[in-house]
Amino acid sequence: MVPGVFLKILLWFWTSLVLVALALELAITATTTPVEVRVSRFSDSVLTSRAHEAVAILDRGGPRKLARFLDELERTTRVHAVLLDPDGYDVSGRTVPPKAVAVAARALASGQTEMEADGHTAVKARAVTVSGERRYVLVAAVPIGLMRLLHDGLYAQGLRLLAVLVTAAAACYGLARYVVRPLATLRAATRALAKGDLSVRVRSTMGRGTDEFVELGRDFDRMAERLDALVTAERRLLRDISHELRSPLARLNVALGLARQKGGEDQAVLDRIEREAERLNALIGQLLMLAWLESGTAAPARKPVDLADIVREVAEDAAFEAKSRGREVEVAETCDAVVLGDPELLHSAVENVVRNAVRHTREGTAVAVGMRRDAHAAPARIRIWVRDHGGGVPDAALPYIFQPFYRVGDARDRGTGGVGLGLTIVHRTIQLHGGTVSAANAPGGGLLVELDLPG
Amino acid sequence: MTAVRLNAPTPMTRVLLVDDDAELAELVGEYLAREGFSLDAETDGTRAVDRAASGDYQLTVLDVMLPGVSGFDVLRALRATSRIPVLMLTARGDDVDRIVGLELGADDYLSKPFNPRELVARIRAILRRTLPDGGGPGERLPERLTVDDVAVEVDRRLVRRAGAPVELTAVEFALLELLMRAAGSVVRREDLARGALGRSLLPFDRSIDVHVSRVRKKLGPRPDGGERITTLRAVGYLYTRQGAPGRL
Repeated sequence: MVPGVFLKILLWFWTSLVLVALALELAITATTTPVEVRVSRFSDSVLTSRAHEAVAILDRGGPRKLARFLDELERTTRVHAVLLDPDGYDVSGRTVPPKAVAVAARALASGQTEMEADGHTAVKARAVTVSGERRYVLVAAVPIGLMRLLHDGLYAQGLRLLAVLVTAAAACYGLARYVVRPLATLRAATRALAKGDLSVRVRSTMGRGTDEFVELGRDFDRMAERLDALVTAERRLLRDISHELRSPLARLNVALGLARQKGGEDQAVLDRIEREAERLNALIGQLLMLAWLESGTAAPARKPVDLADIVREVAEDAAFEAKSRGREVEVAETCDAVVLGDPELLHSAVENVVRNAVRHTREGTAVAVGMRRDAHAAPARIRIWVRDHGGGVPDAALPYIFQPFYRVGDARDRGTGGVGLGLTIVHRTIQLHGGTVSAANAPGGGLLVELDLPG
Repeated sequence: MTAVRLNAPTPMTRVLLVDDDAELAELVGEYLAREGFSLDAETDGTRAVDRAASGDYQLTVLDVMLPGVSGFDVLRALRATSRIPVLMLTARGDDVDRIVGLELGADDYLSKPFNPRELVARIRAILRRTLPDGGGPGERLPERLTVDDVAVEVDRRLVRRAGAPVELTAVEFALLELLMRAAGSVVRREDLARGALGRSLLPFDRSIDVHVSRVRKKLGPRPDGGERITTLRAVGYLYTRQGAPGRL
């Protein structure tokens, strides 16, 4: 379930439904309910009695009293009324509403209540007969909105609104569930796929029919199938390449052994052939390793790995070999650091960097290896550094030394026996573990390589 | 081709190579012949099981990457009937293959492409552990090691637990012998590797651990319920006597 989308859909549709319902209600009342019904409270009889009352007050107290009476009426009922004489002139001293004269004329002529309404106001008129003559007309302007509010009553309005709210909420909840459920399924499937489970399919859980979600589910399955096929093919290809390239090498090695057995040959040449065959084999191994790391399907193990152990082991092994070539390897600083990762990959990464340093450090110098915890970084990071005392790398070339087969200069590398993929593999390995690799020229000469790992 | 070396074991030690690469088998055969072994090659996995179990051979070299039947299936079928020493050939760096092979009862592994010198060294190391006359000429006194209910007749390579025979492969037997001789004290993993496999351990080499766990499984717990062989992480293993604590 995705609460974000779920809530958004729910609220959006619910609000829209409520607004639509309100608008509809207003529109319906405004267009279909007869105006007479809406102004029924200020009904004809009320109008008639008010008209007689007004005439009586005019007779007894004059226009001023009448004006006060009508003011009072407007204050209490919001009905704006005026009293007109048969010629259409106002006798109450008040503002005459528009249309009042026309409606008054009709009332005078018919002797009935006459009315005319627009969107806002209903104008009603009633003639008053004094001594057998229609002498006055009371014209009242009744605000329709006010009437509606007054006469429909807040209770009914509230009930209708509540019904809309509840129904809309239930419907929208269902709708949101309906939309979000397949999304949640797809999301889980996509995550599984990203984690490398290529067998994941959603078709059976997306429901039947042909709506867009089911179509999307089918498309997802097609995509997953294609990915699965591609990755499987690539893995098989890598395995086949590994097998096919190594078979001739295996025969070459045995043939070489035979040549040695028979003796009498130039052993130095055989040594050379053996070394080159070993180099070729190492290169194939590295190529396959890099292909695997870059395939996007490589998922390094996540076991607790003691980096201090790895650094110590690598340094000891490298020191043993470096000694025979007049170089040394020393551990300059260390700390306790257990990270989650693939012990073998991490070991080989550290080993690659240290061996690279041993290859390049000058005779008689020592490669320094160290590790320290960066306490200031959050989250904490472990830094492993390796520094040699060789010629270093031109600053311009520094960003490229982690690229496959990058060679700083022929002179630097020809005699060192490097294959050219070691640092690239280090880079990818550390990246897969969520870390970074950097290289810099150390003050005083030599290359400084740093591996930064989340600790 | 020159004459077979005079110091070769007689009769010639016969080795079966199971590999689909006939050309490689030919070369290896020639190389081994000069080292005093007679090599037969088999390319078909199913036939290989019968031939290896026939008793005609003293050791089988088995390539894991066989077309059709996998080398693991061959190994599993073979181990159901035979204890013949098996040296596996795996792709380099394929750690999983190695572990699986060892768990299925292979004695040791070698990654391909291999140096033939290394192949011969491994074959000799395993055979030293297997062949009754591997220790050289001369009669030796029948030696018997006993700890609690486990009895080992070293010369006849027999293991009995409470009188019932326990089937161990050559390397497993060698490990048990080393551990029982030193019962009560720790044997380092490196020493176990040299003694039982005839070689040093490589980084991340779990061979010894897999073999020890197989020996453990086959022997079961001590009569008092304790663990016979306890692990000292990153150091080695310890064969315990009854009454000693099961774990350290």
